[in-house]
Amino acid sequence: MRSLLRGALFPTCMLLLVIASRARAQGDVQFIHCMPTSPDALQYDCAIAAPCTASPCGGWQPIAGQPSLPESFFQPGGTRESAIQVTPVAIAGATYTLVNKDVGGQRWAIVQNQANGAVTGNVFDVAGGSSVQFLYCADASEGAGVAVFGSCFIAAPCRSGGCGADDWQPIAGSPEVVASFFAPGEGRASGLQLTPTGDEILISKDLGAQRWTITTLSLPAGDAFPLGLGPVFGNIFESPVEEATVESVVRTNAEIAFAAYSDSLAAARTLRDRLADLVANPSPATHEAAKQAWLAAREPYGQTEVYRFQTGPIDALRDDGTIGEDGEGPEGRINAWPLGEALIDYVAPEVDGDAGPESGGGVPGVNGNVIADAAGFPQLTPEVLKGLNELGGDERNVGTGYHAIEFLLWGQDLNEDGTPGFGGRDATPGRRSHTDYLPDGSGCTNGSCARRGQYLLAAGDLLVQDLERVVAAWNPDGGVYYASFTTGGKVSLAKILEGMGRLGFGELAGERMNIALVANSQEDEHSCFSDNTHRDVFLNALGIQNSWLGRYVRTDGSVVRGPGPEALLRAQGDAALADEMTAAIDTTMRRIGVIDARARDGVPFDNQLQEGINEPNIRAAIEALIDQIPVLERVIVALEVTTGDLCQDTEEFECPE
Amino acid sequence: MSGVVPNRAVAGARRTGAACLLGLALLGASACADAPAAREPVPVPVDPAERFPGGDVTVARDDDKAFSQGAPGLDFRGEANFKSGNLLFRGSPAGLGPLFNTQSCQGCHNQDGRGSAPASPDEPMVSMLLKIGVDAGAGMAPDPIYGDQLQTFGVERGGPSGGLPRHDGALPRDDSPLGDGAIGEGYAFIELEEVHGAYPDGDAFVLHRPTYKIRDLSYGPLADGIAWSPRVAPGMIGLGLLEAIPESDLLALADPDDADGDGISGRPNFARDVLRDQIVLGRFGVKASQPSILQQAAAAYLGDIGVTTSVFRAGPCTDAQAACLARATDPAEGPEIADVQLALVEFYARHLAVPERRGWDASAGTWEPPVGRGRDAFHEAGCSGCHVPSHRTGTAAGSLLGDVNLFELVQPATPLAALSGQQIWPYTDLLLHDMGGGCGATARETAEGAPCEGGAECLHVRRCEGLADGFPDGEASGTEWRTPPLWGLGLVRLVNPRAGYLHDGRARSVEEAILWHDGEARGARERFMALSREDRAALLAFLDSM
Repeated sequence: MRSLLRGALFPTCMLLLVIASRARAQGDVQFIHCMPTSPDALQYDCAIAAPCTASPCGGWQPIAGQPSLPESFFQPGGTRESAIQVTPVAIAGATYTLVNKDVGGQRWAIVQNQANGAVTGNVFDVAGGSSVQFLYCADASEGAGVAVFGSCFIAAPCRSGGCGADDWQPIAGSPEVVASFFAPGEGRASGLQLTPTGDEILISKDLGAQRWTITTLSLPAGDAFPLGLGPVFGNIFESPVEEATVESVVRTNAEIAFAAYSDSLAAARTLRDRLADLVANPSPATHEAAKQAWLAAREPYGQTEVYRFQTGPIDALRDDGTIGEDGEGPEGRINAWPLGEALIDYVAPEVDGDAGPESGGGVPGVNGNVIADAAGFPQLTPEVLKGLNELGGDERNVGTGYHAIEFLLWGQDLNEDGTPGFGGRDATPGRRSHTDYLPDGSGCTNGSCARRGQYLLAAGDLLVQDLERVVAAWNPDGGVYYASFTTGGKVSLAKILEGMGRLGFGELAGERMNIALVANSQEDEHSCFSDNTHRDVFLNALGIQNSWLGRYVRTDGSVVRGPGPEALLRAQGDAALADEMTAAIDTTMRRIGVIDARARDGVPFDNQLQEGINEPNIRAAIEALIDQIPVLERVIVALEVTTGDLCQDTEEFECPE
Repeated sequence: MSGVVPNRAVAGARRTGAACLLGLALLGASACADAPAAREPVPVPVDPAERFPGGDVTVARDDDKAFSQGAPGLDFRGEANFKSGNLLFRGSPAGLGPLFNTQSCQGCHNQDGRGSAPASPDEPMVSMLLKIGVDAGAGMAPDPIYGDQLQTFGVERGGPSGGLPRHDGALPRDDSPLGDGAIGEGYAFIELEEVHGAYPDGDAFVLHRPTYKIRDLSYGPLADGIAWSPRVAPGMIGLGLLEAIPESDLLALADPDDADGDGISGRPNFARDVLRDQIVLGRFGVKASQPSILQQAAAAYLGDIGVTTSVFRAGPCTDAQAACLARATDPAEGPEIADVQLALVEFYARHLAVPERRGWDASAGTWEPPVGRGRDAFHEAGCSGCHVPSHRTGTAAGSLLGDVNLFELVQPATPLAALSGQQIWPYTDLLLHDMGGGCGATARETAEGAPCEGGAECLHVRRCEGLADGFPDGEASGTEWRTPPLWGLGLVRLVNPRAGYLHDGRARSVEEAILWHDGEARGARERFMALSREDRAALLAFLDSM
């Protein structure tokens, strides 16, 4: 990976502007290269150039007049449509202000070098819904046919209160683009240019459904493309790919569902393979690989949870393939929590009491935990595991899904000295050893290692099976639910909005954060064994934002994008409310981002919720989720849909009047 | 026709106006010479609204989650409170114990439905319990050692007995001044006796009469004169609606001196509302001794789970229970669950919806034939004298603790719109009625029935006839019970297949539950028994449609 920074960046304090006019409307891209008329002036002498189509680049022409920019351009504030951000770190000694603001009918997306006043950026047509994100990647490298951005962070706009490094959220994985991204293209709606000085490459191209208008430092290798790359920074600009209608919004939402569940399935299959590796060859390496695969599998799944609470496949898909009622679907088998870990495997009694079902009086036929009970459960198959959930009619008996696998990989989250986390708890997750999977009698710890492996694989198989069924139901090509949902009109639109509200308030703010907070209860956090709860809450909130904006970034970095309710609201002339909702969600993301960032800094969720510590992050995030609900309720009114009363008459039942 | 019934002295039948008292009359209509004649058929107009027994708080569910649904139309905030309350209801609180009957609300209210009696003496009671006390003249006083409830479990974990009581196990010993620590107080179990009977048309039936026994008392014997009342956890649906029926409407149904001469009295129970420090109408519990869902929930947290609240700050140990006190949270540290948690559980309990009725023929606009026929028979038999079909809720007041907004409580509380102004069909008057029967004094005897004074083999044994528990509770006598609501009745076994009916779950079917009715309900029960086989089936079909 090359990330060489050249010593003489922006040597003449030139202002570099990329003008990409109406990226999606066949408008030409024009690149502008401007120089301040004086060192501190906001007035410039400029030249323009069409996209470069072949090496060597060139063709700059001076333009008449001296364009100027208002001072407020470089100050925080404004809405999603008009905002700034600041790079999280200095790049070659300079911090950059990233600006995305309106000038007349155009969006100017520019970057100002704070050290020397130089600015780079983009310009777009304002029409149509769009959201702005700001990008910073510490490295970019190119290989055969592909360029990889490494160590990337993305940020929403700064608030009027100021910009902060906490605004920047790491992007999972390394976005890849084809190497031609950095090569001259045909067409004129997108392209790139090399500045006259040859120091920077200015790019305005589509990546997925997004327009990336970025600057990268060039490392010219003669006249040949691709040129060498340095840090990449700039704006990502989204524009709707089609007109926002109820139908297009619903279809986009369904396509995101299919993509997100498909990603979840793929990640679960990878997880299952890693579990098989662990069981076949238990070692610290295979154990760690399995844990990493589990963490990776949670990333797409967390974003699917916005599809809960709307009688969709996850909640209502029966084993016979028909859609029933909420509660009949596989959700409980996939993601139920808190887990009944004492039913599954050995536990520390001071945390979970005796081994066995959660019910105090025991359940006939179950003797201790299932892994140890070879007589009662001679075979540990997916079917047998299914029967453990709600054993004896007690919902606390949960033995399957992500969290069962999590428990079998990490074990209980005791403190490092083995004490339970009732009072003070340390920052470590569970510390189950790979030796729990070594052959019985040959290093196996805690007994029943072969059966533990069987349980683990059966849980992995069941997870894959259940996700396969959910994916099939959402498949645009013949899925039982896709067809009815996408033709459901406002009923489906209501479900989208209801899912956002119900996940955000009842589930996320309520069950997943507030209960753990008010009870100071480690047991009530979502991923309590792995200390991954910060990702659960972040990804749940991101799923809400995905539904709102009609956008989902897949695990391969590609983007599913179309009009969301946001665009629909804007299309019907309610831009102010759309902005308000977007801003409310942004606030939530920022505050949950703090929980996420603190956890990455070594203060996991179960530490942040402890009493008596100065970590108001969780409460602040709950408040943001509370605050976004009244806005959502006004959105629901504005879009003229009715939620909360989605009862539909069936043969057996009529809905109340 | 007549059952094999031991003839025992009975006591505690405080108001037995019926000619055939003491329970055993139920074993055959011929046992009572003067069964009331069937009433004049009264046309009972069909109201289509009845198929939505909770009004707007009705859900179209008839599966095992039928009792676990929130009120439709809750806004996002209400739903969040409901879900959070549900999680607390399901989970085992951190302050569990030191003594408890079960580990969570859900542990008794199985899927929000009814609990069940153990299937055998070897299974400890988990979703039922014994209230205990000694007759102090003006009501029952707590046992000086064990308090007012026998808790089966203690927080001692890890051993094969899992915190179950052991004979004298918690008493000081030479090697341990606290004995074995926080184990349960005593092990109550049930012995069943078959009681045979028959309908006038010759159809035979068998009832199970329970006798309750206690062994393994960890803190020594129970007090002389100890009595107890076995109680299975009731279902949770529609509680907020019942709470919102105006008190004046219920008091208007009372007829304590049977002024109308129908053989049915109907007496209100009154109870102290602890938070408001007022005596108000009791509505909840099998003897209507709790005035509100909030107080009932706090009482259950304390008595059943061993968790203190701001309503009941003292823990489950009595001063005489050193081993328990040694494991208890210091009350000075404040309640073990915060008011916001209690308010969330209260909100949850108030908003559990009622399932839609089955058996409605939408095209005909009336009940399907057997249900409709059974509905008429229900009224004609006089069942509706206590099981009053319909009420209208008033304004459902907000929580005394304030509006809950996830992590905070905001005063003043606002009324609960979802529960207010609803026409509901619970089939209850929430009043007390004498159901006959009576109880003998609690005996000490061995498993073989020989009298004994003490020791591990010496059991406490209590035998009652009929439904009586001989355990006054507030205004309720030892033979009086609150009319339970009937909504959801047909789904009880779907939600909890082990559930039984009546206050202690003794009835294995709704039919058996009817056959246990006596006292004020004797006439209605005899009219039921006198029905044709088809009409009896229709009446049961009607109840099954609930």
